[in-house]
Amino acid sequence: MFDLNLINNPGLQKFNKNEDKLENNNKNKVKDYKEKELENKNSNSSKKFFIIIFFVVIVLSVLTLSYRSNFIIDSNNINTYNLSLSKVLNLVDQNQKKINLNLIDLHKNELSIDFKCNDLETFYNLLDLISLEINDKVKGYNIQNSHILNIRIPWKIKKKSNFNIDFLNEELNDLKMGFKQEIYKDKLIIVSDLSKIINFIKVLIDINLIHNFKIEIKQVESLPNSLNIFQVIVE
Amino acid sequence: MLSISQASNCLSCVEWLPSESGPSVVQYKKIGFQDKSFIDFLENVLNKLDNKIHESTNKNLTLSLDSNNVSISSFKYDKSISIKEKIDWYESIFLGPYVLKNYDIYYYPLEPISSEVLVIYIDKQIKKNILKSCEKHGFRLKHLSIDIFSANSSLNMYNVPNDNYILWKIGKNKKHSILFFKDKNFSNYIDFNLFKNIEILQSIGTEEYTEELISIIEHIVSYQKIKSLDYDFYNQIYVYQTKNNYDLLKKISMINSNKITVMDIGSKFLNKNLKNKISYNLLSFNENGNSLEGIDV
Repeated sequence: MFDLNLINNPGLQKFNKNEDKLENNNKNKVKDYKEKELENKNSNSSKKFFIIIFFVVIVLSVLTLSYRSNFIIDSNNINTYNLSLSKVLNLVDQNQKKINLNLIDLHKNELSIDFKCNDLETFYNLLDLISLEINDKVKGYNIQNSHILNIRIPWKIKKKSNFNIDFLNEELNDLKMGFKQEIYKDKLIIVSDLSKIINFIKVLIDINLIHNFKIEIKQVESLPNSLNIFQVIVE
Repeated sequence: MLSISQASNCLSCVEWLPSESGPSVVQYKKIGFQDKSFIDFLENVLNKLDNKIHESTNKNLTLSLDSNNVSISSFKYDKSISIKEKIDWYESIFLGPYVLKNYDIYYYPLEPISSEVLVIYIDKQIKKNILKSCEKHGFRLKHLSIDIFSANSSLNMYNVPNDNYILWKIGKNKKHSILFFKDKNFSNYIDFNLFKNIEILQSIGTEEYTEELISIIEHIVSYQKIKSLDYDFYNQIYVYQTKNNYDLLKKISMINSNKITVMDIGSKFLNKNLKNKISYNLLSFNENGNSLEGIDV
């Protein structure tokens, strides 16, 4: 009889009876293999040498490929993604009353935007419109009456040495963006409504500084949801 | 031992003690339940039970959730690819970070019958709230299951089913669920609405069996005698319900008493004085079956 117990550790579970048999068979096979392995121990030393060489070659190939793929994202896609981000943010801005934004996060390797839609119609409309911009980089989940959209875009942070947080603070003061801002422990903290914050991100894209900073945008949790006040941390 | 099963807005609670002649029930009660977040759900339960009893017994708890509190899904895989590899792919490409972050995910391969994996997600916050409430009231959560799967444990305890059997749950709002076991292996899970016709909501397992199962159900709900040809496919149908109107169940059970068994946990577990007389209002207690896992009854 199978046992469905959600107190167990998550992941792959044993279910049907025959699988246990299979597992026992596998255990026996492992046992047989070990016995044979002991018998053949001496003749295997040369094989081990070739396996190690093969393994080293594979590791080097994977490292090279991974470096090249990062480079490809870096050189070809960044400008496209900047443009896509602008368009996605416009959609978020236009649909503010129909969604609850959880997070916008621009980090080392990834840009994340997570929000819940208030109804199915908004969910499918936005899923459609956003996937036109960024293809499969948006995912939608309908779970227990929550309509959730997650956006994940490859991202790079490349700090320009001549433009730090203090310069950004001064620049924003000059631009009079209409939000509260201050520097605290080398981080720029901004508190405002979502439209002004989206405007701020679009300004960073326009002046080509969007990849210069890590940026995290979250709703201020201590306030009621209806106030829709967000906090931005730039570092 | 305290056992609770949730069916929609109702908790069926049983408190029992182990004894030489099997589990001995000391109290059972149905309690209204509204807060689906499960924040301190035990407070309400313990206030309504006779606390003189449970304070003196061991503080183990089993819980069976309504399937609406979890998400059930599945995927098929190629046997030439290792299942762990396929799960990695499914998690990274299909589920994505939101589900991985917020849900505990369980994978149950339906081998050897089909190359499909039943996937069950439970919200980590719900699980956390359940465990927190247990901790607050000094209970140890021993088992957490889902409605019809927990009823399958009752079935195995009291009915000793044959190799091929169908377990049928008649739920509220014309929603039904079916589990099918082939050679004692779990094979199919089907959710359907029963209006004039059957409308399948979800089907997991081999399509061939699904078609056969739906055809059997269609035949039964038209109140015709069961076709003897079907006996090769299954040996017995076990049926129970969690809704309050018993008309459909009574009609079904009258079609062919040899092949359709109403799961009667009332006289077997809750109140042995009922002497095999089916007490329909106790049928929802079938979903307390996970409490009896591993117990000799």
